[in-house]
Amino acid sequence: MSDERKTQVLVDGVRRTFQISGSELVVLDRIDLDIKEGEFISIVGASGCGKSTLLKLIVGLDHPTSGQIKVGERVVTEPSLDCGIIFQEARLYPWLTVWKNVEFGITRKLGAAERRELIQQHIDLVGLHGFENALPKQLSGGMQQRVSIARALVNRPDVLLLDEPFGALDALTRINMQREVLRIWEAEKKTMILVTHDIDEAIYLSDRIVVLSSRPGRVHDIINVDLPRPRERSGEEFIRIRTKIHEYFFQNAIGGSELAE
Amino acid sequence: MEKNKAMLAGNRAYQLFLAVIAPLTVLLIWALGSNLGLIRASILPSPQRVLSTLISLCTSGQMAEDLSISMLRVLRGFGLGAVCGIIIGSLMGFSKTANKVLGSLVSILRPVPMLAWVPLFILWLGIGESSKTAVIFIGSFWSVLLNTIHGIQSTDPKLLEVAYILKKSKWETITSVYLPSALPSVFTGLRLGMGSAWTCVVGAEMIAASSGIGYMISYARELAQPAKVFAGIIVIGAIGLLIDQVLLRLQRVLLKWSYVDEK
Repeated sequence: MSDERKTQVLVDGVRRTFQISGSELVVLDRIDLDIKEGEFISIVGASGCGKSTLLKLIVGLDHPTSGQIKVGERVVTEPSLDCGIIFQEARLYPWLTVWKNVEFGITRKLGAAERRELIQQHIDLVGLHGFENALPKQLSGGMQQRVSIARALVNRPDVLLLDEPFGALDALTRINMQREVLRIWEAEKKTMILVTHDIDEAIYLSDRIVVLSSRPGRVHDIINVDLPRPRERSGEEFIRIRTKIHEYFFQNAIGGSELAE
Repeated sequence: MEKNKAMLAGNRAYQLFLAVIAPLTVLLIWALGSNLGLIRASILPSPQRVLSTLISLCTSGQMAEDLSISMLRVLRGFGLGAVCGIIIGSLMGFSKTANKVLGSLVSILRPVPMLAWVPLFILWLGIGESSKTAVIFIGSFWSVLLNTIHGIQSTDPKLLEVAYILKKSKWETITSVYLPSALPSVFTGLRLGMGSAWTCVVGAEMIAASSGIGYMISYARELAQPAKVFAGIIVIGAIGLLIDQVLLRLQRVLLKWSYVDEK
């Protein structure tokens, strides 16, 4: 790994527990991650391994029981504009047009012209030129998710978190969107952290894949994917990595019964 | 395309047919019964009589005068009820404490029928305009209040989370998330409130008034003029329908986004 790169997100000894009817449930335990600037990281794990909780901690919607998370130099205590997030549902405002939805993503004070330019630029970036005046309901699921990506990026965050963003899309749209995200990542050079249960998706996109075990969620392994992009899903190395991750879940029994292929 | 249009038009005609079949049947039976002498005119005058009475009421200007008096009362009472309903409803929708404090009061007062307030208001406010305004106010207030509370409380927490992550101020979250999201429900409340305001004005005028459409009906009854009573009832129904349609159209224009078909 090119370790000279600046650390963008640092997860330091994070533990998150929940009180459930008197007893303590450890969801995440001893999580240490050093994510570099511009890196694409995926976090895979079975349902309930705490991978979405980890994203919530990074974005500042939830707080670690112990340990610390830093985005850049900032210790995360609440959401901040340097860190955007995309959810499984596009979460668009149904009363706003595509343009206005993307505009809602801008919280900084900007001049009107700069604002307009920024919005148009991001609508173009996600390939929705010509749909500026459409309402979310008039768009397909994939297109809605594109709007939500534009809205998250228009604030120019340093880090983009993706919480199973394509889980609700059909298989073909999903592959299409993976290509799109790859293109956007290459164009924008953002640090991206993707939570997914789709192993192929993780291998297709990431520099490194963090494999979480379940209950408590711990880092089981971190796999480097040193393949040139765009990656061939049927390539030898691709399949080797896929087999390796499969083995983690299905043979080493780290709790992968609900993991999708 | 042409075929589609023809089918659409055919479908529309069919829908219209379904909508008017029941009233037309009633009218037909009524006309037959009256004209064959099966129904006594002192109880139920013939449709022609009602129509000619209606026309003469309209041309003489009496109808317009009574209607405009009633309308003015409705606007006054409804305006007050809507404003108070939206303000107090917003307060109760946003603040859990306000909701707890006022909630019990609402549940006690709301089931009281509008007309039960009339004697009290006459006692307090006299027989003039203010007692009628008060009755209409009560009549329109509840549905606006409840629908405003509901609209605000049912704002999607996921959309609120997005605003929170985007660091929107409290004020911007209210104006750009809560408010638009509550609007369809508020509008439903306004429509229901307007409907009940119209019902209330007629009720209030029948009990204590010397003008207005409700008074016209009850006075006609005293003078044993059933055709006039009927003409009044028809106008009340027609106006009620008209008001609701106008508000519905307005809602469709203002809240276009909520009527867009899912793809």
